[in-house]
Amino acid sequence: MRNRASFENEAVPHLEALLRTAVRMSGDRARAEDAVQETYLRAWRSFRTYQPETNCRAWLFRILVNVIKKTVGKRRHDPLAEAEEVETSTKVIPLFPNADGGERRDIQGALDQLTPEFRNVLWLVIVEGFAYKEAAQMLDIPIGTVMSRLYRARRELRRFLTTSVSQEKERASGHGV
Amino acid sequence: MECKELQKLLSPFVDNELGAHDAFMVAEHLEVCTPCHHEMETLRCFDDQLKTAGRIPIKGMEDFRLRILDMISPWGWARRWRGLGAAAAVLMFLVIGPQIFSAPSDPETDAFSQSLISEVQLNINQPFSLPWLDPQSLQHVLRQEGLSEIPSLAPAGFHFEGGRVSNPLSRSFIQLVYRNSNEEISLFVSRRWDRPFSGTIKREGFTIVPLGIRAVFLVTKDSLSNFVDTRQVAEEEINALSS
Repeated sequence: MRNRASFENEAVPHLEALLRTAVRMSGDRARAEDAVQETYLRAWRSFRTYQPETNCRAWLFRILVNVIKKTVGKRRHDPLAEAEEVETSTKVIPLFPNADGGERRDIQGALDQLTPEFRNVLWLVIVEGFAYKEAAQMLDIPIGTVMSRLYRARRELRRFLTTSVSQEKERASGHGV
Repeated sequence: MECKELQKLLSPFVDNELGAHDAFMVAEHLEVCTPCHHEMETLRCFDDQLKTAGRIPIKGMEDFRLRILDMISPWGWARRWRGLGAAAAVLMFLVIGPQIFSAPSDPETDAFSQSLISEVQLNINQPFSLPWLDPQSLQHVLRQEGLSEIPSLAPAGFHFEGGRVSNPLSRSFIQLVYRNSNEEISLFVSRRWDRPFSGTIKREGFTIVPLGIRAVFLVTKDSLSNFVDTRQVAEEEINALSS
C-alpha cells in the first residue's frame, strides 16, 4: 500500500536536489519553490500508481521539468522547444548569450551564462548524476542531442573559464588597463 | 583510434555512457596517449568542480520541507503547531508531569501496562505465536466490545495488519495491529476492563495512551515519529465507531 509514510520515505528525501535544480532552471527561488510544491502535489496525487521498483528520484525530476516547462511556457515561448527548432535547422544556439567579457569567472557564474538548453543537460547529468537516457526522457529530447549538448557545453564552459582567468591574469599584470 | 576521433567520445566515456567496444577503444588509446589522458583527467576534474559548486546546501530547507509535508498531510495543522505544542507539553510536564509519569498509579494499573507491553513484544518477537482472527470473527468480537468496525488509521499512515485475542492480566482484549513501512502500533479494546487509567505511561521504550473514555489503549514505540497525528486519528476513529 502506497501511503503517506512511504511517500515521506521515498519522495521527500529528494526535496533539496529538486529545489536546487528548480532554482537553476527557473532562475528564481520563489518560482523554484512554487514549481517544487506543484511537483510534490502532483507526485502525491499519483503516488498510488507509482511502482516501488522504479526510480523515484527520476520520476520526481520528470514531473519537475514538466512543471517548469509549463510555467515558463506561460510566461513566454518555450525555450526548450524553441532551442530544439533552432538546433534541427542547423543554426547555432549561442552558448553564452549574456557573456560579459569574463566578469564572472567562477564556475557558478559561468554556468549561469549558458543558455538553458545546455545548462539543463549539464546540470542533470553532471551535478545530479542522471544517465543520458533519463535526462533525454526528462527534457523530451533525443539521446543524441543530450550527448552533443553535453560535449559542446563542457567544451565551451571550459573555454569560457580559461579565457576569463587569462584575462584576469592580463589585467593583474598591467596589460589591457 | 586518432586523437581527434577520441575527443568526442571522451565526454560519454567519463560519464560511463559508452558501449563496451567504444569504451575499450578509448581506454586503450588513453593508456598510450599522454595528451588525451591529460584531457580526460581535466574533464573529470572539471566535473568534480561543477558538482561541488552545484551542490551547495540551500538555506531554509527545513522550513520548506515542513511546508511540503503540510501540503500532503491531512493533519498539517498538527505539524504547524508542533513547536507551540512541544513548549506547552514541556510546561505541562513540569506542572503535572510528576503526577502522571512518576506516579505508579496503583499496582494493578502498573501490572496492566506491563502486561500490555508484553503482549506487544510477543507479537514483535514471535509474530505467529497467536492466531489472527478471520475478518468475520473479528467484526463479531469487535461489535461485542462496542466498536462497529475495524478502526482505520490510514490517515495517520498505518495500514491494518490483523486482529487477535490477547490476554493481558488474564483479561480478554482484542489486539488490533497496524503497521507502516517501519513501525508497528497496537490498539487494545475491551469493554470488560473496568479500571481505565488517565495520562500517558512510558515504559521499556513503549508509550501507552488510553483513548477517550472507552477502554481502548494505544500502544506505540516511544520512537514513533508521528505520534501526535496517530493518536489524534485513532481517538477520532474510536469515537466515531463507538456504539
